[in-house]
Amino acid sequence: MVSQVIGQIVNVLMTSSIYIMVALGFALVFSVMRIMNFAHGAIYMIGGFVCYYFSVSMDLGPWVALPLTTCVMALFGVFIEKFCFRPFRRDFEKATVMAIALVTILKTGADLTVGPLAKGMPPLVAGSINIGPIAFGADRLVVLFIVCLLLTALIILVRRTQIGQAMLAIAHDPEAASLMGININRVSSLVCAMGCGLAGLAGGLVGSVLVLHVSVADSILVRTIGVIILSGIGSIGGIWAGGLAMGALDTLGPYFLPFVMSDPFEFALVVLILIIKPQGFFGHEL
Amino acid sequence: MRRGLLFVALASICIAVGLAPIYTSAAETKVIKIGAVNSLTGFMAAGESPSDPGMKIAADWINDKGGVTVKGVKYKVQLVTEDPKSSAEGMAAACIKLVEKEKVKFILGGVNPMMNIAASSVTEPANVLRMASYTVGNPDEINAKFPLTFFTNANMQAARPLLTWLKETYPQVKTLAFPHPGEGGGLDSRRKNIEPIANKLGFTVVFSEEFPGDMVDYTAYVKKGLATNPDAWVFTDGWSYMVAAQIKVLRRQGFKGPILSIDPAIVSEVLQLAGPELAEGYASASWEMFSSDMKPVFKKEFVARALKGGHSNAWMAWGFNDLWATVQAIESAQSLDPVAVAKHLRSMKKVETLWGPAVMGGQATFGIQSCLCPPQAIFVAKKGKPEFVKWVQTDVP
Repeated sequence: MVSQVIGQIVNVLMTSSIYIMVALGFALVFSVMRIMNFAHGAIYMIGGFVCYYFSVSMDLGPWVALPLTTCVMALFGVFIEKFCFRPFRRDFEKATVMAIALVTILKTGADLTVGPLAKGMPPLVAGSINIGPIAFGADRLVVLFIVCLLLTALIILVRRTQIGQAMLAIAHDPEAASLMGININRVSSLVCAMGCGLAGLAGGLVGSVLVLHVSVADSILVRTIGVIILSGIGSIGGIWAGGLAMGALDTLGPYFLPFVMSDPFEFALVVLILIIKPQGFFGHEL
Repeated sequence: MRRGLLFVALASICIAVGLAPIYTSAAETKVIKIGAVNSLTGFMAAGESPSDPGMKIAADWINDKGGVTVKGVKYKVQLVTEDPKSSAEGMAAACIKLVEKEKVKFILGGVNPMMNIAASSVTEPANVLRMASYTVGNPDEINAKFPLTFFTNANMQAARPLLTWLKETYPQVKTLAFPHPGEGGGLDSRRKNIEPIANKLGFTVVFSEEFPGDMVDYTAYVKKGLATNPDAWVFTDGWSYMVAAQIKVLRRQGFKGPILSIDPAIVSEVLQLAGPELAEGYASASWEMFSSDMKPVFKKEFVARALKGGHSNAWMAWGFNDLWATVQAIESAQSLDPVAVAKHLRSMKKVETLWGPAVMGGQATFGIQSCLCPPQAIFVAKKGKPEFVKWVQTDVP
């Protein structure tokens, strides 16, 4: 019984780490730029394939491919901020429509260039870890470690650095921030670069743990939005709570219910939490 | 003058005789337009888009051999392709365009049950014969109300031979886990058609549950299955990436039993996705693009032509077989009337496929004989490569 409970806790941590990793970039872009980047799932998926290209096709291995992927996707983030989001910065609806258009373009582009077949990447770290009756892949532990590192780094960046203060200022009042001498365009570019870079990194990391396929874009986006809602729209520090909650729902719900009922049940709970506590667990932190 | 006239006359006769075959051939060689509906975009593209080049390879091969001959008239095959974009509405629209604008009488392709049902809603009333690539066995997809719809592959066709092989190779296996992907309402039909076969062979099914087709992480699902202590994990359906993702979790969770796929999740693909270490021992009744154990027609006509065209996706074989089976039915019936061809196809003793002769089946299971059941090859992943085990004859009662 104890080993079962511990096993489930480990499962929750492993699943949550994937969702937290993906949600970080989305949360950053939304918190600062107030843009619901629905293309985040597609960017995550493209990041996975870029990592595959570096790691497998160019034979650079995962540890070289991951930082390269982050850089490439960050540059892509700069591009989409300048040409897709900047023109609609003050217009939430148009920015949302642009994000949706990006999804279609990126997914169809991936279908036609990468092809519809799945890809597999070699694991970051091979082998399993066995603690008594509990077993899990060593690469998942690496993902968990990297997630903790990134979350900590992001929180420190936002709260303790000048650029972080600039992001806070823009999030609260972009016009006042501009009057204070903060370069909105430059900070927004940086935020989008970080958001897309994080999405790409997540795609590469998770792609090596799971399997890469174009269809992951949609499934991961739905869960990412669930994490954001649970943690609180505008909160970055609260992502860990939202991620843990989503991971717990994903892991424990299907254990007690038929799997086909688990998704609707999960999201029904998310809606319920939204009704009871609309600001999520941590509300408007950023 | 007289000699000159004689020379002109003789030359004219020679030219006329020389040109006669060309004239006659040109007059007798016609074109038969055959529609093809393969999703090139969207979630079904993985399974359907390779059929497109497969059908084109088959069309080129058939035309190079002289085309289709019906009552002394030769017809070149001309494929007209539409992309149903992985949706039922898209499939209906694609079929409507092919039937009404292109006036086709034969349509190829279709894997997803919802899309197959949508296609039949157009093709059956229009008396168009459709040779679909795959059925999950959903009774709304294949039944006596669709006499003009055929399937070159059925989900359960390899269940009996593969489970028999499992019993012979792993006699210690008594309990099975059957993971089912939650797509298109195939769960009930898989349970109804496959589980009795397992029970008859002496197995007990301890886990039989659906997983969402868009699942990100299979850990919780696999753990739930492993809690029932199955001796073997047997996929009844699912794309290679689903199989590979579950294999990764299964092996890392410490599961050491055999893992198989009744549905042809190709061994070399699963090896590439899951890695040679984790996929070791994985078996499937399928085919391999580069195996020397495949049939001569597969190697010479399909693979050689595919590679020449720069293609290497094994799933093209489905598209190739769809067209080849249709052409065989037309030639055997000596008719271009889809109703006559359908009736004749049902009575054919065998239909050649890339894997050997297929037999017709489905009467007892679906109330109509609309399934072509070809032989399949059992392959096992051994030291990073797919190893041929043996050929088996598939069947759908």
